[in-house]
Amino acid sequence: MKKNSINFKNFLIVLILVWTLFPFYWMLVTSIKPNSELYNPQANPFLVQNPTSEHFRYLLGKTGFSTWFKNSLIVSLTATLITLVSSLLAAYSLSRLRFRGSSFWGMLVFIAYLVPPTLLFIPLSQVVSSLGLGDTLFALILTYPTFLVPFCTWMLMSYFSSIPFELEESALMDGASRFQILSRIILPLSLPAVVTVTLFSFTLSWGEMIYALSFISASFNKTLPVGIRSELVRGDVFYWGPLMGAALLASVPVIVIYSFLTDYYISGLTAGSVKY
Amino acid sequence: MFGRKFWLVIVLALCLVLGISGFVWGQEVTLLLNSHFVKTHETELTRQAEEWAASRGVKVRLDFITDWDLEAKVTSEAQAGAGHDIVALRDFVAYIYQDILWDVTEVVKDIQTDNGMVTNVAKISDLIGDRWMAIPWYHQSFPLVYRKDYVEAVGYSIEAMNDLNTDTFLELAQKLHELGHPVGFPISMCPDSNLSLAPFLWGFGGSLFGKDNAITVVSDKTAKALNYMVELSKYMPPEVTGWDNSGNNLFIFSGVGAVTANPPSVYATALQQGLDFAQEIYHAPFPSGPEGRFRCTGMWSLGIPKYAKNKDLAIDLVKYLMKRENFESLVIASEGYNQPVYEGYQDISIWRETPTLNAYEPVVETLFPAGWPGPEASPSRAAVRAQLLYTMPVMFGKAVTGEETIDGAMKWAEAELKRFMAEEENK
Amino acid sequence: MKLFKNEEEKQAYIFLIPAAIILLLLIGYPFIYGVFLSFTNARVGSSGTWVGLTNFYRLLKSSVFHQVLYNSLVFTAASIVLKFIIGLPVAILIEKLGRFSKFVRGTILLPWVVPTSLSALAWWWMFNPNFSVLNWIIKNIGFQAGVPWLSDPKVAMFSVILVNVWRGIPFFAISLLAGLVAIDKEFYEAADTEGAKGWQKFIYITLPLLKPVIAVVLLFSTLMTISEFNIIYILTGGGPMYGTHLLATLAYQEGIATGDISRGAAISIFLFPVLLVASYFQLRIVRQGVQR
Repeated sequence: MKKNSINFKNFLIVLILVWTLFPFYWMLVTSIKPNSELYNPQANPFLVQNPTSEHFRYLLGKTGFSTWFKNSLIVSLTATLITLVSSLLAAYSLSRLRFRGSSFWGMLVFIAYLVPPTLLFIPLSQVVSSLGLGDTLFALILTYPTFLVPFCTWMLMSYFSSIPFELEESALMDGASRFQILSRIILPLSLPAVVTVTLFSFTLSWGEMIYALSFISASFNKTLPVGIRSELVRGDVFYWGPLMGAALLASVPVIVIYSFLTDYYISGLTAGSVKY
Repeated sequence: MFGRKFWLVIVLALCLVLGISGFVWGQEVTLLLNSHFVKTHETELTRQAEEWAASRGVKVRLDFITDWDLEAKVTSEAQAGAGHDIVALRDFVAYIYQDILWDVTEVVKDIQTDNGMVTNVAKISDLIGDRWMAIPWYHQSFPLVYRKDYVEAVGYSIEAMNDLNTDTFLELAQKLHELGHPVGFPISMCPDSNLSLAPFLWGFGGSLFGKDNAITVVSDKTAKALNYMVELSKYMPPEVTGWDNSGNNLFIFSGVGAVTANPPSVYATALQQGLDFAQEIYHAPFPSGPEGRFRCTGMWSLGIPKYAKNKDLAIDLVKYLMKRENFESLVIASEGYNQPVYEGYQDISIWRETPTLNAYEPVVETLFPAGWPGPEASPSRAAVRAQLLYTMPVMFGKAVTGEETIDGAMKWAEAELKRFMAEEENK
Repeated sequence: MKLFKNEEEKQAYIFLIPAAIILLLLIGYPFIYGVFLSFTNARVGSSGTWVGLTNFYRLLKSSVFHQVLYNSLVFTAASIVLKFIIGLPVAILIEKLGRFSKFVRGTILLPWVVPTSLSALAWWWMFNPNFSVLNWIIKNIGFQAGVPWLSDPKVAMFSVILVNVWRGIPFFAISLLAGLVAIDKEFYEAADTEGAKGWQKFIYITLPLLKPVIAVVLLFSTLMTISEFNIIYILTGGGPMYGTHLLATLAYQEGIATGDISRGAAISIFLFPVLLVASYFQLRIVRQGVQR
């Protein structure tokens, strides 16, 4: 009886893993299958008779993939940096300091999170151009924090709130400045949340598509999602092999970073939900 | 841990990014263009542009984006007041961008002096009142494209294919369906669908708009067209209602499909990829309906927006690209895909010399650009909106899937068109 | 006159400066401008004139908009319900796993971690009408025809919900798992001594104690699901026949692709009240946690 339930459990787990990983597996299979096998509706799609690197070679050699990769990296890292700094400072202020207007600003932060990107899209393009930043990576670096900061601030706030005030009080009595308290006490204690927030910001920036599609048009300024979609999805014909290869390669950095920091990610993610 | 060094690093990182973020020295003329379906076209076009740039001592930059994102991009640039010097404009979208484009009447006059008069389809797309708002460039029409071996197997020769009407086409569709290699036209929210269904609509005398922008979609003739498509769809694979622009191409590439409507990109790609049935791909004029034989085309023009920084250079570049030898090179680089819109280009020989392209160019049907509201109608913003929101394909789709009755589908379309007109009047 | 009450207040505002710049200049100002736009008839290239509520009035009369509202409701409700009723058992399963739980926990988060602008491409290929691997499997099991994943409006809605659920289950599962793990085992032990059965323990102990976590997760997910864009845009573009258009994608198509900026803005605004209500409740829970 016990054995059956263990087997059933294992079966379920395997099912869940297959469900979770299949699309990634499929990206991989498609990216190494030659065109003659890919576009043959009779063939068994799971078999790859002549695995080929032609799609990756095309991707890396004949498209702007490496440029887009570099751009995505620059944009994601810098936007994350800006977001981190802004959110850390704001979260500390809103959750640890008593001042008039703190509820108001807290509410503002949260409302800002609600404003959908498709509403901000047009007016934002105006702001970006009037600052002379149209069609530059800086346009993205400036606009990405708009959807990152509110969320990150909120998440950090809820994490900060679990840190006992006594630590601060004793530091204050020793003459520490607020900034020192933030850097030397709060931050180290909130490392999981900081890691999570960094991961989230990086991943969301990495995968952002609509602003990038609208603000950037020069090929050498494109980020990965836009480059992949505009160059490998051309008019009539899609290049499915390179397209899947690109989707896979573009996902790799995110997956790698995540796999090294899984525990931080998970504990940060759930800290938000479970603290109550 | 987060002391001075930390902040120093951040400041340095920001400076690095500012430096890298695309700062260009010198004058650069920029073009926003649609990704061409035949990639060799883009290579050749880039070469020509750079040749021009070198001779003028400036730089040039061509940005190719997916064509269905093009309007969104131009809109953003217009709102922001900054962007490319030359933009590719499809069909008659110049109508919605009139306010932000330069009047290029003089430019078109000059080009016509060298290359002959523009053809009708170009004129109706870019001549607004008596001002040219964009410079016609080329068009890419949608004749029938078919597998010669499949249609021959059911008894249709090339001559027969060149002279189809809606009745004989329906018979052909039924036979091909039995053969297992059916016909297929997209009935979905994609540009190809607008281009494939319009000739059927017009062939029966149906239309979206009529004279003086009257909304004519609810009529017996439109109903006939809808009924026809409902019949025809019985012989088409059900997934045509979900096709995107690549659906009909993949349909032929997979070896399954026998007939669809497309410019020769299927032929060109099959040729360039060395597929074994490339030589079996032929083109034929669209079937004629009771009220005429029509074909729909993707008309491409070049516009110079008012926010362009290098207006004079842009005009110079456009004139350069319109020169006979340059246009001819583009046609050849695209394997005959680009069709001429100036009478002087119509003698380019590739279309006569390649048998499969004989029916592609010259165009024997009455030709209109994609999204054209109706054979009697004139362009309007409302029509452009209907084109970009795929009102006509959705109407057909509702009838074909049975989601609405024929009458219901027409009334739905009418309500949509009414709202587009209302919005247009509001301006 | 002193601007700040005390040093603490002054510091608080100084710390707020970077976030405030972003909030006011890059969210606040564009938002107000966007709201203003929705009351005009602005379109590409012309700033138009004030028309008051005309855009909204037109939207409410438009059958396409009704359909999109309906789609948004169906999409959001179905996705969230599915994510919950699949996520909870998955969480329970992982909790009981023991040895492999860490590996499984890490792996199942992948759909959540990888951006949808990339993973949706894989699903797009998997749903391809001519070459779908899913249809190949289905046909080989013995069914006559494959599923019209993206070409039938109702099935297409199912498909986009499927992808959203695939992407969203990990978030539910992991959060609920954390909640489960946090429940004090003593409760269960006490119940055992009273002879409680499995399902009774679940209903009377597990669920009530999970309520706060469930509430947060549900509300958070609602916010994200309602404003979904990438999945629809990549898989269907809103079709077939407007069958999968959501508010965000419609706003993009009408506002940007056709240049009707004011109408696009009006459509986007419709999202706002719902999000406001949902987030109000979420904020209350957050605030309750912060006040100690």
